[in-house]
Amino acid sequence: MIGVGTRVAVVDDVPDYAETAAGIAEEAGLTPTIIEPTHGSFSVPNDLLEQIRTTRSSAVICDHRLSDRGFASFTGAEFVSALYQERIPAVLLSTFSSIDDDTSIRLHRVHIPSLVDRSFLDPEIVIGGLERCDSELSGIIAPDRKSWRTLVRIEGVSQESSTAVADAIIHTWNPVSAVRFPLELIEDRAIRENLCDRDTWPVRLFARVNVGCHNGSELYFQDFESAPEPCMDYLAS
Amino acid sequence: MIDGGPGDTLLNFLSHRGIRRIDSVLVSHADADHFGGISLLLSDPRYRVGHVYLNPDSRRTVLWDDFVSVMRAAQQRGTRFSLELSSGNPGQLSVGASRLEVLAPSQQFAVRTTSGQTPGGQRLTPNAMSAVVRVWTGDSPRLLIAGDIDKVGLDQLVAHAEDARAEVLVFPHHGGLPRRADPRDFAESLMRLVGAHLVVFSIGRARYRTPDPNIVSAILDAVPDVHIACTQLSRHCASERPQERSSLHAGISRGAEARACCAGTMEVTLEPENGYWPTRQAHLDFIRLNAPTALCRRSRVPTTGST
Repeated sequence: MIGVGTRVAVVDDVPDYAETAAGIAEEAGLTPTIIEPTHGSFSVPNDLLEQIRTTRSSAVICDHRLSDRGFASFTGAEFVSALYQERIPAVLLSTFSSIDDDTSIRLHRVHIPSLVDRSFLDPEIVIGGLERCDSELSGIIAPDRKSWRTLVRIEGVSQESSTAVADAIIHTWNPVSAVRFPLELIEDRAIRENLCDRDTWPVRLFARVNVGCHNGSELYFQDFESAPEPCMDYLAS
Repeated sequence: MIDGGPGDTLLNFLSHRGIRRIDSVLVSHADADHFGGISLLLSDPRYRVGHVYLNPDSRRTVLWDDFVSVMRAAQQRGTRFSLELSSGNPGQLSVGASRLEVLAPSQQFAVRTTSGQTPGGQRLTPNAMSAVVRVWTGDSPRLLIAGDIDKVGLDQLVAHAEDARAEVLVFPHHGGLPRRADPRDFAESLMRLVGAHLVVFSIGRARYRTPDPNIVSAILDAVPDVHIACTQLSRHCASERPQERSSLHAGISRGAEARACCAGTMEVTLEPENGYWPTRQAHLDFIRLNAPTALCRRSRVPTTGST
């Protein structure tokens, strides 16, 4: 339960930003502790988690880009995803959301119920975000976080920075707006290789997607499978 | 099941009601806002779907190909498909104590899909080919679901159907403009044909500014005591959304969380004596509070005791 006095750890590689987030947490009635690396940087999420445990925090506010200044060798999204799997509620803060949403954040979005653009951070949003995550961890899934098996039409693959990405249309979500996601989300290696090798499009797959969400940045993908070719003649037979 | 709008509203509704088996699905035409929910339904192996009837307008668009891919996967799980939904196929379907009657497209019209033109030389659009389905309970024509039928489709409905009377009409094309036709003439013709006392507009507040005010006005002129109910609160009727979520419908209504509903999900019972929900009075109370420029309260011929 998130409430007045809940201890919350603040993870941010920029000290000023960490102070600001901690101040907002205090305004929200929470008891924040800013986490600082004791021995160089954090190399794996578990090291950071262990340090947070020493603060007896039961929730976390975490920045996404933790490696730019050598704070950690992993992203905030990866860490918040690890926290989710440890059943610790967290809010992920993003400063570069338009750049990171489709790639490094999307990769872990299934385990990130609360993503907040730093420019909108205020006490109400912090509490609401932690409560939303806490609620999902207790089994109450918000309508926009519920996933359904749906067709995903892949229109092409490309490289964004060093990440292989796919651009796709999900007609059950929005038939006229493409969404980008990292190819790494497709667990089946044969499907991934097939996508990278081909030069004819589209390719259709099934995946579980939260098609009830409003914004493309909220979409998450899991459990990709091949889908049949769209052959009307076969259907009629 | 007749059509299924976009997003996951349909599956949320089925899940809420504990429904896992659908005997027959009719897809009125090949527009994503009518087959999106059906696509999710057919993608989910937890649901058993018996038979899907598709409109003969099925086009070679990428969206339709998406749906065909989904249908093929469902076919592999045992769902059967018919590709020529018309007044001759299946024509009529029995559903419990009720009966479904496909009024349009007529068989004669359906075969025109290969030519792409009406006998009069007008281009056949998906809306012109849209299926129109009537639901009967015993001898009572309870409900007419008109898909996205336009003036071309309406003309052929008038020409081929003996009658299309029904107590409840789900107005075609969400109350949007009928292609190349005067909206008032279109609405008056349809109301003369159907004579419904409840007209439902299935609309989304965020897009298209439906229903068209001329259509609503024409319906009120044609049937002064008609009850008009929009699923969401049209921007024509209120520039602001209600302060709080409406409690008109306790179940699943698309837009409820966003406080975008007017009547919300309309639940019409198949027994005429049990009416529908939300009731006219409950809906009017909501409109008085939340829709200062309500189209359904405008331009009405005054009648005693009505609002």
